[in-house]
Amino acid sequence: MSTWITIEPLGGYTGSGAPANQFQNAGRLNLSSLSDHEREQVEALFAMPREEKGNFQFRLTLEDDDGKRIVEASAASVPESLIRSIHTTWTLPLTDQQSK
Amino acid sequence: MTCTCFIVPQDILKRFASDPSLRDETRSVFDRTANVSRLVRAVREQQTAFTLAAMPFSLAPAVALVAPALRAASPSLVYDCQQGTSTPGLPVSNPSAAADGPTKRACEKALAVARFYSEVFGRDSIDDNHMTLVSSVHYSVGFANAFWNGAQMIYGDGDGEIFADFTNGDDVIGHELTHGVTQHSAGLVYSDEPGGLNESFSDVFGSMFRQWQSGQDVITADWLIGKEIMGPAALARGYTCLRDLANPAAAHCLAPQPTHYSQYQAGMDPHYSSGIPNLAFYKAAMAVGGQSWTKLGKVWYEALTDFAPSPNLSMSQFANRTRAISRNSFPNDATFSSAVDKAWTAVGL
Repeated sequence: MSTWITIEPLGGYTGSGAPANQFQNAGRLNLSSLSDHEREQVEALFAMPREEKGNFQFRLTLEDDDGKRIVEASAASVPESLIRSIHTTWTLPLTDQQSK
Repeated sequence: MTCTCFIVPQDILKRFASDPSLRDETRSVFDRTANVSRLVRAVREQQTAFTLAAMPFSLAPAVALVAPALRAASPSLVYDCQQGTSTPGLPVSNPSAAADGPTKRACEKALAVARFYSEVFGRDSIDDNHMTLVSSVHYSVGFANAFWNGAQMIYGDGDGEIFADFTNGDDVIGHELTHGVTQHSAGLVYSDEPGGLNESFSDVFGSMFRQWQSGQDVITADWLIGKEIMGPAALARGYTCLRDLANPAAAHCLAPQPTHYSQYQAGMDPHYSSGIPNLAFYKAAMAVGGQSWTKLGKVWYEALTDFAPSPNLSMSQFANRTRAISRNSFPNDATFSSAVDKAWTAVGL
């Protein structure tokens, strides 16, 4: 069984989660690629999600055969390799005019 | 006399004191330092109180008002995350003279924003109580964001294509520092309407800081947010900014926003709904003319900071605060209060 985890920043200066954004900040890793310690950190976040409301959070989505589970966590509680997996991409493909 | 115990903020000392990844001995050093720092601050505050009490009654309030301006600027500390994600990271000595661009910019621009708040609004740092300015740079790898984590500012290097280094933007640093000001004043929650106001204050004061620093008036200002952090790929596609206070829905924005309260829906991302109060500020500024921070900015600042904490403040409540302040503070200038009123009405509030 393969378990995937997606990480997206919410908030901050860019407000990566705003719906009309023309860019996306996200990362996606197989849970097995994390170290044992980091995997335990992630499992703990999903086992005991905490109410953490602030100007900046990470949304973690865990996908396995049982479906999807989502938690939001502060930067301090998210494993480093997950945060480092985040990269910036365009939300929409280039239009003809933009690609000229 | 050594002053090291004053430099690291109390909340960072407390965070280290309870950090399970540190050794017991190290944690206890931070715990002791936090306690000493707290005691020294209490003594300092008591000395100030005694000094004011000893003055003639008529002089004490005046001294209290000018005291922040006479005090030395709050220190601006910079830490280097070295592409890691542990904050604050490693301390950088003498950051204002650093060869590293992001380190030097984070230090100097934070000081400049604090100076803006001090000279224009009489505010003494983020908390109005001489709080040390703490910034961390080089957060993670190619990280395309900057944020306020409740105690300090954190900047990514950008991916280099869509976003450049985040310390390039004067308004980025003004925006993040203003999140701290909002936290220490209105204390707005970060969701729904107060979340949108929270984001808007950061954009509005970030833009005002940029205008103040460049000596621009409302006509010469470009009102763009994030202009200096657009990377080559974004510019090549015709994006000139992240957001635009003058035209929040414009196609040149990487993150276009709604422009009227009728478009607001509960649960909206604060970076989206902030377009509504952003546009109200711009419209009022254009109607008033001159420099945005001299009169209108003070009304916005007073509406944000001169009330008891109001975490659930709605957009219409804030609009009405600015209407009342503009009427009461400038009773002989009906044109001014009318401009504020009309700007809010134009965005549906």
